[in-house]
Amino acid sequence: MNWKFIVEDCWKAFWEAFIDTPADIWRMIRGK
Amino acid sequence: MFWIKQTELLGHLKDNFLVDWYGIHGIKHWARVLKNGLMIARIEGAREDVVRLFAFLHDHKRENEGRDELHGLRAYESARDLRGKFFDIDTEGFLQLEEALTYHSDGLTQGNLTVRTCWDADRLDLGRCGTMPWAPYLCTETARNADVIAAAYKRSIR
Repeated sequence: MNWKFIVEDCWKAFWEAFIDTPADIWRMIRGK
Repeated sequence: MFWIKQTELLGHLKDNFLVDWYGIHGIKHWARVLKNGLMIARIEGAREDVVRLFAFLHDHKRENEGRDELHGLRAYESARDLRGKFFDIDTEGFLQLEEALTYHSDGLTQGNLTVRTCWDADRLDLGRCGTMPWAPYLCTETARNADVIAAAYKRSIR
């Protein structure tokens, strides 16, 4: 898992998109 | 059958992305398309694996942020190359992905349920371009719901 890429390049995008369903955020970022 | 190396795929797409990664056709848009698509898919019964691939791939071969009429076709051609390296999906799913990618900016509203779900997921995010999604241009009953449009619009202009 490339944590630097996830945190710096993807985290904010997924956080904003899934903020109303927070349980999904981490699952989506990991691709599960 | 379906698998995806999502972080590796997104890293590859970023490395080869020609427009702004954080712009109107970049990762933030892709994440919202995923959000919209999974929401519609779970209600309508569309395929979530196709929706996920569509969200990440539909704009990845854009050459500009404006009218880039062939970017859907290029996205499909690229998806053919990426299949087996970063993801795989059964033949039927890949055919649905092909149709969804190739024609996603052509304004079509008819077709397979999963394909229509992909198109609606993208169109529900039009607020970022200053356009309110319009129900007659949406393809699923779920997406045409006024509350769904309002929520997607609010999300798209955050």
